[in-house]
Amino acid sequence: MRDRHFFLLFAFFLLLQPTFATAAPLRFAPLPIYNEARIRQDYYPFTQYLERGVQQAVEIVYRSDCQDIIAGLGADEIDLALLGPLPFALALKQGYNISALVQFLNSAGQSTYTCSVGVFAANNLSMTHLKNQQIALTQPYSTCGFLMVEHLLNQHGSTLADNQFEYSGTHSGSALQVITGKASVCGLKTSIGKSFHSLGLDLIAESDVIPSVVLVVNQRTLSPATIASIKKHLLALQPLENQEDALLTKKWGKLVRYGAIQTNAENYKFITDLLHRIDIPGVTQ
Amino acid sequence: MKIWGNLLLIYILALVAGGYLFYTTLDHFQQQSLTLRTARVQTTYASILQSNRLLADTFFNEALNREEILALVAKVVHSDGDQRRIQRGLLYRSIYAAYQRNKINVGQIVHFHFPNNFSMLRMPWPQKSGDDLSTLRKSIVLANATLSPVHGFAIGKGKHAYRHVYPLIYHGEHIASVEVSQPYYQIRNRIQQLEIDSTLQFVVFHDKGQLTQIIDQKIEKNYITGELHQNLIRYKYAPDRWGDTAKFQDKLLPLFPQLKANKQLQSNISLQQDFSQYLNLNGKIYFVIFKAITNISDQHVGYLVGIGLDAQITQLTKHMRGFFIGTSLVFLLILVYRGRLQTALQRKKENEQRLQSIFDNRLVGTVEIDVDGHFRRVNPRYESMLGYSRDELQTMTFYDVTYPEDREAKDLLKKLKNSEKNQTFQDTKRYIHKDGSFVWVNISVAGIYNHSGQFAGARGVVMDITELKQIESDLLKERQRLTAIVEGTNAGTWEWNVQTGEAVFNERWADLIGYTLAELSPVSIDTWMKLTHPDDLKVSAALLEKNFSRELDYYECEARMRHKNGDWIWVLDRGKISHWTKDGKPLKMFGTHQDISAQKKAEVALQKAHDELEQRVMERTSALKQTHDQLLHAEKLSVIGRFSASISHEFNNPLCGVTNVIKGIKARTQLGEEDQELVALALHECERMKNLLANLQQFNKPTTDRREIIRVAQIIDDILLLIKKELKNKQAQVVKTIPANLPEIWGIPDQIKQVLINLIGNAGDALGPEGGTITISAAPSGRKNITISIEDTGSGIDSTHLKQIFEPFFTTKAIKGTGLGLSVSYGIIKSHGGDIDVQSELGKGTTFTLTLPLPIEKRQADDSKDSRG
Repeated sequence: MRDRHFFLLFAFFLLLQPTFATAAPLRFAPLPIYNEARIRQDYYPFTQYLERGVQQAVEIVYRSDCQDIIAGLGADEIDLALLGPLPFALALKQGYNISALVQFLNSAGQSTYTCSVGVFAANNLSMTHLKNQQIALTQPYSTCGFLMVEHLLNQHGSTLADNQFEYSGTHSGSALQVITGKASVCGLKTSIGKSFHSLGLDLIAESDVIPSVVLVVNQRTLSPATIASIKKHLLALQPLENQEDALLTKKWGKLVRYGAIQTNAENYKFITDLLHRIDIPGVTQ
Repeated sequence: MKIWGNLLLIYILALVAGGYLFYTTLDHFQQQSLTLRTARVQTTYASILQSNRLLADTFFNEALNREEILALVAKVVHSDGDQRRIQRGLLYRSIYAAYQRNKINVGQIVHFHFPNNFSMLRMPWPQKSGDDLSTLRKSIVLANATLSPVHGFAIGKGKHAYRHVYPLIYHGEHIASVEVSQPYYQIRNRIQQLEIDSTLQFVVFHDKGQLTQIIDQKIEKNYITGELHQNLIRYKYAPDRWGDTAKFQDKLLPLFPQLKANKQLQSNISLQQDFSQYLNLNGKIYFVIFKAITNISDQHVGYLVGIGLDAQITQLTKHMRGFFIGTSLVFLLILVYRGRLQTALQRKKENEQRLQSIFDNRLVGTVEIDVDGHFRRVNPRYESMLGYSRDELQTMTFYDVTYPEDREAKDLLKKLKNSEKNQTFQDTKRYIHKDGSFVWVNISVAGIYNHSGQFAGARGVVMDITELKQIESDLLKERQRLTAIVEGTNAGTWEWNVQTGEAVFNERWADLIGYTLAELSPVSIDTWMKLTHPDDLKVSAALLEKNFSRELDYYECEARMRHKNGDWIWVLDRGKISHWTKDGKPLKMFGTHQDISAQKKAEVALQKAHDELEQRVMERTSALKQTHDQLLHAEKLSVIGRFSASISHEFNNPLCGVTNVIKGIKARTQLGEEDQELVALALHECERMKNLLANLQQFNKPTTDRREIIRVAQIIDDILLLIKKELKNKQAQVVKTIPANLPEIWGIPDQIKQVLINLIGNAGDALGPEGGTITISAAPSGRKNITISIEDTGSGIDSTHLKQIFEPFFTTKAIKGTGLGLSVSYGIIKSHGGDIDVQSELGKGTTFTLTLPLPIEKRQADDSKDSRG
C-alpha cells in the first residue's frame, strides 16, 4: 500500500513539473565574441529567462566561429542563434529557413550602428584614392570587416585589392594596429574607434546605419507557437526604462542586456545587397 | 594474581611514558617543521618581492626612463587637443614593444599618470585612461607628492597588486609618474612555483577592495570581522587564469566549516601577523601558513595563505594510535585469557570426573576397545547386558561376545579403521549372553585417536534392544495381519498426524481415485483436502470437530473425491483417533476409504424414480380431483335444471288459477281507476311469469336435434328475459343492435340458444363489481352468413388463456364454472357449419363473434337474385 501511495505521490509530482522538464532542449548559439567560459557565463541567465518564458529547457551551444553557427542552422543543430548582420545575411543567402526575430539595443538604446575606417591622426590620410596601404581588418565574418571597408573604399574609388590587408581579430586590435604603426588604416565599429580617439585615431569614413545583432530562429525546428513565445518574452523587457527589468538583465551578455525591438529580414537588405556585389575572400569565394 | 597486576601497572606506565614521549617529539617536530616552512614561505615571498622590484627597476630604467620616452611624455603633458592625443598614441607606440616583452615578468600593468594623479596612459587598456586616482591609489599620490619611487602593495580599481611607482623627471621637471604593477595572483603563483613542497597550496585573502571580482561587500565584511568565508577562495569567472586556486578550492572548501570553527586559527588571524599552525581536520593533519600582507603604509590588508596536508605526520599519528590501541588490546587479551585458562583447567578436571561418573552410571552400556577389539573399559550396564564381569571381559575381545553371523557382516571396528577420522557408525547386531542366549543390541561407535591422530581404538554406546526386537516382531506380525485384512476389504487406508498435517496413504487409497501414490507424492492432509469436494469437506470438518471434542467416538463421512479422469467418486471415509497429546488434543488418527460410488449411484437412481412417481401421482390426483369437481358441478347443474323444469310445470297451474281469478275480479267488479291499474299490473306480471316458466321449460327440454328456421332476434329476446335479473344484479347495461330485416338462420334452436346463453352469461361474469355494458349485435355477413357479436366491457382474457378457452374443462372461474361451456359452444357452432371467434384485450373487454350460415334456399334465392340482377 505504501508503495502504491508513494507511486501515486510521485506521479502527482511528475504531473506538477513544468512540461519543459521532459521536452527536448532548445539549442541557442550565442555570437562567439569571447571564450567559451565567458560566453556561457554571460548567456546562462539569458537562457534561464527564456526557459521560464517558453516553458522549455534552453541549452547553450557554443560554436567558436560564425561559420559553424551558420552551418549548425543549416543542419538543424541550432534552433536559435545570435548573429551579426553579415552572418545573418550569409545564412539567408544559403537559403536556410530562418527568420530574424528581434534586434537588440545597445546601452544607448540604439538598434543600429555604423562601421568606420580609421587612420592615425598624424598621418593625414584620406579616403580618396587609398592605395598601397596596410589595412587592419577585424575578422572575415565581421560586418565592419572586409565587407564594409570594401564598400566604403569603393564609394571613394578605391578597393581593398589595391591595398594589403590583415585580420587582427577584434575591433580594438584593429585600432591598436594603427596606433602602434603596424597598419595605416583600420576598419572597425565606429563606437570602438571613437574610444581610441584620445590615442590619435581618426575616423575618416563612416557607413550607413546597420541593424544591430539579431536573434535568428530556425523555422524548421521551432514551432510557430514557440517562436511567438520567445519573441513575446524578449519584447516584454525594457531594461533601459524599467528598473526591475534592468536588474534582471544586469548580468546578461552586453549584446542582449539592453532590450530588444521587432525586426525582419528586410532590415538587413542593405547587407544582403552588398553581398551580391562584394565577395569576401574565404567566406563567399 | 599479583604478577599479573604488576605487569598491568608496568604496561600502563610504559604506555603513558611512550605516549608522552611520542607526542612531545611529534609536537617538537611539528614546531620545527612549521618554523621551517614559515621561514621558507617568508623567504620566498621576500625574495619574490625583491626580485620583482629589481626587475621593475630594470624595466623602468632601461625601457621607460629614456630620453625619447620622457620627451614624448613631456609632449603629452604640454600639448592639448589633437596634438595631445597624437602624442599619447605615439607614446603608446614607443613603449608597446618593450611592454610586450616584459609584462609577464615585470608586471601586467604599466600605467602613466599626470602629476595631478590623473591617468595618462595605461597598458594594456590605453583607451580607458583619464581617471582621477588621487583617492584610490595611495602609491601614485605618494610618489607624485614625494617625487621618490614607492614600492608596496596597493589596491586598485580592478586588481590588487604589488606596485612600483617611479616619478618621471624630464629636464628637471616632474612631468609624470609611471607605475609598474604585479597583480597578487601572479605573486602567489610564483610562490607556488618556487615552493619545493608541492603539497602546500596558496591562496590570498584580503580584506579590502576587490582582490577578486567575486569578493563582494558582504564577504569583505565577514573577513574584517575576523571570519573566513569560503567564497574568498572561489574564482569562477576565469578558472584558466586562477588554475591553481580552482584546483585547490575543491580540497579546501569541504574544510571551511572546520577552519571557521577553529578558535586558535581565528585568534591568530586577528593578530594580523605571520603565523603558522597545525590543524586536525577530519582526522588528517594539515599545516597552514599565514603570511601577512601590508600596504605601502604598513597597514595589514590581508594574508597570503598556504595550506597543505602533512601526509607524513598524518600517517605517523595514525600508526602510533594503531600501536597504542593494538598493544592495549593484546594486553587486555592476555588478562582475559589468563582468567579463562584457569577456568578451563578447572572445568576440564570437573568434566573428567563427571564423564567417569556418567560412564559408570549410564543406563546404556558403554565400552572402549583397542585396535584389535580387546576390551579396555566397560561400564556396569555393559557387564550386566552380557553377564560377564569387567575382569572377565578384559581378557576377551568384542568378537568373542558377538554372534558368529554378525562378526564379519557387522564389524564396526573394521569400518572405523577404514574410514576418515571422526566418523561414527551405528548398527544393530546380536551379542551372545554368557548364558548362551541372544542379546539384540543397538551400537553406536566412534574412533579413538592418539595425539598424533592415529586410530587407537573405538568407543561404543550399546543399548539392549532385545525386548524392542520382540515387540517389533510382534508388531510386524500384527501389521501383516492387518494388511491382509485391509487388502481383503479392498479399502484405502490413511494415517494422519493431526498436529503436523503429515499423512500416510496406502496404494489402494490413491488407486481409488485413479492415481498411484508416486503421482500424489509428497502427500499430506492437503492431498485429501485438494481432492475432496468442497461441500463434503465442510461436512467432514464438522464431523472431525465432533470427533476431536470426543462428542463422537468414530468419524464417518461420505464424501466425493475428484477422480483422475475428472469424475467425482463417492468414498466412505471412516476413522478413529488413536493417540492424543498430553494436553488432550488429537494426535494420530487412522482410517479407511471405501469406494461407494456404485451404491451412491443406485441410491440416486432410486430417489429419482421415487420422486418421478410421486410427481406423477400428485399430477394424476390433481387431475382426478378437478374432473371430479367438474362432474359434481355438472351434476348439480343438471339436477337444478331438472328441478327448475319440474317446478315450472308445478308453478304453471296455480298461476293459471291466479290469472283467472284476477280476470274474474276485473270482469265482475267495478273498480276505481287506481285499482284498475293495479289489477292490470297484476295480470301483466302473471303473464310475464307464465312466459318465464314456459321459457324455463323450453330451455330444459332435451335437444331434439331437429333443425328449423330460427329467428335470432327472438331467441336473444327470450334469453335476455330469462337472465334479466341476473344481469341486473351484475349492473350490466345491455345494448342490443339487431336490424329488423336480419335474415333467419337454419339450425337447432335449443343448441343455438345454449350457445348464446353461455356467451351472454360469460359476458355478465366478466364485468366487475362496478358493472359495465354488454353489446349484442347481429348483421348479415355477405350473402351466406350472419354474424352475432357479444361484446362486454369486462376484465378481458389474458392472452396466454386465449388459446385454451375452447378446450374442455378449461375455466378461469374456479369452482363456479365447469370449463365445458365454451367447448360445447364451439362444438355446436362448428356442427352448424359456422365459426366462433374471440377478440380480447386485458382490462378493456372481450368480443365473441359467431358466424352462422343462412338456410340453403335463402342463399340460393339470393344467388338467383344476383344472377338475374
